[in-house]
Amino acid sequence: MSPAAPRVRLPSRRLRAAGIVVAAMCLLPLLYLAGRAVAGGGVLDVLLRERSFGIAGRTLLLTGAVAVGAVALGLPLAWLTARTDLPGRRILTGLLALPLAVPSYVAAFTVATALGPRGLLWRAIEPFTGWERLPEIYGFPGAFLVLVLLNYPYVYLAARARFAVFDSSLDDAARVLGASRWRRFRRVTLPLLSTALLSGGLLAALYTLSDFGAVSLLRYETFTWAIYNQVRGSLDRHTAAGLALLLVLATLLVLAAASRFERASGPAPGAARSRPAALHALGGWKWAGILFCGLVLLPSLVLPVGVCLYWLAQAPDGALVGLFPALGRTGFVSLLAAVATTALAIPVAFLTVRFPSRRSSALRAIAHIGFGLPGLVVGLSLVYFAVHLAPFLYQTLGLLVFAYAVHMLPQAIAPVEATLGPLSPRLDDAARSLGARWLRRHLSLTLPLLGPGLASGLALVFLTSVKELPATLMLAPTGYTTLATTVWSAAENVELGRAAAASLILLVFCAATLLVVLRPGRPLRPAVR
Amino acid sequence: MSRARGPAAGKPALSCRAIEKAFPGNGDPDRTVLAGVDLDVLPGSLTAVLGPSGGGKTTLLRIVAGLEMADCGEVRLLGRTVSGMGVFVPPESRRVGLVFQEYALFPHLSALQNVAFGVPGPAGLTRAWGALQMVGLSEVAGQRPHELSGGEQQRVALARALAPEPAVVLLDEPFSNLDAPRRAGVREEVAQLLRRLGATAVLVTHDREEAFLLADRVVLLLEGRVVRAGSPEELARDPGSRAGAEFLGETNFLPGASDGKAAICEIGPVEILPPASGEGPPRGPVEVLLPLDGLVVEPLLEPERSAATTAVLTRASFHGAFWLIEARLPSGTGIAARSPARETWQGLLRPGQRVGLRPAGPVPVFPA
Repeated sequence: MSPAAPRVRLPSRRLRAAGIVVAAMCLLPLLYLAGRAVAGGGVLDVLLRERSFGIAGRTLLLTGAVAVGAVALGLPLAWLTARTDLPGRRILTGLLALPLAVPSYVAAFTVATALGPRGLLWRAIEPFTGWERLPEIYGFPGAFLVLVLLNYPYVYLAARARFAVFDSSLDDAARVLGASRWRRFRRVTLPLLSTALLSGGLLAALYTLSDFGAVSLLRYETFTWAIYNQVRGSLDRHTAAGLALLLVLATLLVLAAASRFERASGPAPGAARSRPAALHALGGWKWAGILFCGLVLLPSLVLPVGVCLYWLAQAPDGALVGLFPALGRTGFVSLLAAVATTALAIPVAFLTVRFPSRRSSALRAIAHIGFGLPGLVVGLSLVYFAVHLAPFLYQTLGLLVFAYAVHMLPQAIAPVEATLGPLSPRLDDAARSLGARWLRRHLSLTLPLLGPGLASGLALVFLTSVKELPATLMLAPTGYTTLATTVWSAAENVELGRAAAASLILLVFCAATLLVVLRPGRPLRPAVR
Repeated sequence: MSRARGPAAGKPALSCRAIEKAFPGNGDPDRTVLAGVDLDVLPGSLTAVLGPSGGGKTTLLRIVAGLEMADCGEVRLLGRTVSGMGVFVPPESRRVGLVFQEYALFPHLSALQNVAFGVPGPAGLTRAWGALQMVGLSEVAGQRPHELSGGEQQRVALARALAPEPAVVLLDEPFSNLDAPRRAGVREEVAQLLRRLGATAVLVTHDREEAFLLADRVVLLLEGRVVRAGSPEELARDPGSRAGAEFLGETNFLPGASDGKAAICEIGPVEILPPASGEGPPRGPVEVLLPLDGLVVEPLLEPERSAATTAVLTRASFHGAFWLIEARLPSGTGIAARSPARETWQGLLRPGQRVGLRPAGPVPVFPA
């Protein structure tokens, strides 16, 4: 054997078995859902029904509108904070990313009760204006408003990231070549930003497709809410499966497009920044800029917190009963989910980092499927799966944890991969040569070295599970209410004080999520969902 | 080498007068980057602005291009004031070509589209094509910058800067991004091209060899001041100041005393080279500059017979074309000299050998 011949390393049997188990866990429920939808005739049925066209049309309309709206808000905000001398831009930069962490059901409930036809705003201005009511908020306007306000940060962050590596000498080069301000924007800046805008807009679209909280509370029937009603009403499970399959197809299309643009938006060649870009002086326009940021932050951040505090103050006695047990249950199931998901992420990370092959990248892709799919679809597929194949799991916490794991696996895989990557596999060989057995190697080497990655994986999955609504609604055992389901059902039943109290606790968790997620240098994708 | 030099070439194509610029930086809210810089570039000549990084070279280029505004001073292009005296012509309307250090090619445009950017319209496309042919890159016209090699990117950047036929083309460290083996060839090509076109060019570099090889005139810019301007030969002989000499390297300094005509230092009396400024040589305590190549070295077999000062050899290294000899003077000061190899030196250049040192001709002295 020549010394240059690559030494083929194969994963141990144990590791391979673990990889197969993870792949099966991720794939089986979805395959089962697809099978049900096709074999039961659900898809055909759904395709031929007139009502489905309405649902699909509304979903596409909302998705497209939110994507466009997110670009329309995100691009100017990114430019203002990254490329101008806007006063207070340092603090605004952080604040403007925060709406990403606000759960859509919290925003929907606060927007509906504050800006609704006879909401808080109406009550405040009625004595002066004498108006009978404000314009309708339920339906498209409210859903659009809430989802744009929560999703523009995807575009904002992507565009900011692009601005940050923006080679200012390109603009200088265009100036020296005689290009006017408008021509520079059209021919240089916009083309260079286009991939960031597209991928940010597609992420906003993806989130809109999978959103359940806002559309259900604001009564705009898109796929997710329609599926939920089908299942809850027990009208027709085949129809639910058929709708879900259509939603999966739409999601996969957006995901494919998003991953394509994300790859294409790498840094430009030779774009090492030689000198800091000069900031545009806004002059008298700076007040307009601040006003614009304020107009975005007011409904997306101030309103949810303020309205919750208001309803809490107005809450009747006894409104808060049962919140602490719900907090305890939320913490318990999220902790279980965090541990289980991170444990499943470890073999996947080892296989993809240490043994790169076609098989391990297939495993990685499979592990990401559940992440891209709406939580509602993951929940639905597990309902079917448990009812027909594993009845002993139905109505157990185990099934809920299973759903969380399938849905959030990539959030744990990414940080573990990132810490595993730089570690030399020779460390394990060295421990072997020193006589350490499997268990000791992993306890004394792997775990401590992977510590930071495992910790951030645990934290991310925990915090995401705390906020998760649709899968929890579908799968939580009867009576097992969490904070998220409390907010949702209390808002449905107009128990506003209760919804507000649970929302405020959730918002604290959300702030914690951002501290974990938005540390510098972290990629945007496995961020908040 | 000698083209377009001297008074016959007429008025300068570019002239800068007393340019000053301060930036906040390095913890200093008002750090001076340029402190009254004068620069004259004759039409069709290649001038190198040479200096260490952070010395203000790039800022000077950006002021000429209009990308920065000078705090005071005047920039004239082809006799027309473009900056200063209450005038500021924006870079879009200056007719200045600029080749960036990182090339700054538009990553989303092809090579041809990049070159055509500054010459809009169908006629411009023809011009761009001509410019691309001129740099020998017409066969990669359709490729994007990331598909081109570093040298090709550099030539596209040059073609793009030249296509609008600018009054002057400015090159900001254009060769620093190329790897060493390719750099020599590329810079020779670029210099030849600029010459063939008769373009007026300013090259900013920190590389002494590059400046000396390519330029007709070298301006030495240190800490925001021009310490010396002249032909490469003039600079090599007299770097203008002690700091200039230190930057150019390859010199020894010895303390000495001057009577205004000659100076005396540890290796004996030396003849003074009159300063370029036209002022008389300094008097009193001075620093005597002894270039590595300006010293005659001879190993001494019988020390007392030589008129030269004797030093003790500490190290001698053979570089093929020359010997680099390091020695210690009686005072303990180290001194180095470069000497062509001689056959009679066989076996003599050992540490401890006594060597004689004397200057080969007049040398610059600076006030101590």
